[in-house]
Amino acid sequence: MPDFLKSRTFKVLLACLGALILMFGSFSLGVNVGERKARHMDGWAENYGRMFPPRIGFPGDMPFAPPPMPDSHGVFGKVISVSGQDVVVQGQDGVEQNVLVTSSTDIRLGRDQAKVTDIKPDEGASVFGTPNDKGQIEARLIRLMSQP
Amino acid sequence: MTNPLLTRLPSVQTPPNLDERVMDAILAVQIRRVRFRFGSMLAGAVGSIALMVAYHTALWDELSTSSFFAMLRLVASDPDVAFGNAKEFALGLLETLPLGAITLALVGLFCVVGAIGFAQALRKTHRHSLIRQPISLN
Repeated sequence: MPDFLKSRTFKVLLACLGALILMFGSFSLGVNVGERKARHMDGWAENYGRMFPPRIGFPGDMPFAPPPMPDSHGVFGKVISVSGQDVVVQGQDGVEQNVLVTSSTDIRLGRDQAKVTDIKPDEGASVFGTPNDKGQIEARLIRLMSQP
Repeated sequence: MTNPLLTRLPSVQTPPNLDERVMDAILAVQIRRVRFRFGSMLAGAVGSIALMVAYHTALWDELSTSSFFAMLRLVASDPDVAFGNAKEFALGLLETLPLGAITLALVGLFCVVGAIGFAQALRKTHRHSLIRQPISLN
C-alpha cells in the first residue's frame, strides 16, 4: 500500500480526480450563475413595459433586438428616474434596470448616509443587491457618485 | 573442451563510434520533440495575439461594459456591505466576469510563457548536443 501511494499511477489518479472536481465544480457554479441570470432576465423582460414607461421612438415593450442579458446582482451607471421606492438605473452596457429600495437598503453618498430623496436623475450610482422574481434588483447598497 | 572454430573467431568488438551514434540519435529525438513543442506554443501565442488584434473592439467593449471592475471598486469603498453579503457579492462578481477577454488573455499568456520556456529548453538542448550529453526534459 505505501508503495502504491508513492507510485506515479497514484499521482496521476489524484491529479485526474482533482481536475474532475475542479471541472464539475466550475460547471455547477456556472449553471447556478446562469440560472439566476436567466431568471432575472425572464422577470426583467416580462415586466419591461410596466417598469420602463414608453418614450418617444421607443415602445413600452421590449426592444425588437434583445438587449444583452442584464446583471442580476448590481448595476453601475446613471440614474434615469426615481419614482417612490423604484429607481431606474442605466448600466454601463446600456441596459436599464429597475432597482427597488427597501428598508434594508443602505444609501451612501461619500462617507455620509443618504435617503431615497437624495437620489436624483442623471446622477452616477453603483447599486449592489439581490434579484427578485419581478426582474428587479432589491438594493442592499446604493452608492451615489457625488457630482463634481 | 573448446570448439576449435570458436577459438579462431575474432574477438567481439562494438562498431566504431557506436556510443556517439546512439547519443546523436537520442539528442536528435530530444531536439525534434522540443522543436515541436516550441512550434506549437509559438503558433498558439501568435494565434491568440492575432485573435486579440482582430477582435480588439469586441474585447474592449466586453471589458468596458462589464460591471466586474465596478463591483471590485465596491469592495474597496464599502467593504462592510460586500463582506456582509459575501455569497451574493461573490455570485455578482462571477456573473460579471468578462470571460471571453480573460480566457483569450490566459490562453495567450500560457502560450507565450510556454514558447519562452521551450525556447530556453531548445537552447539548452543545442548546448548539450555540443558536448553530446542527453538531458532530462522534465
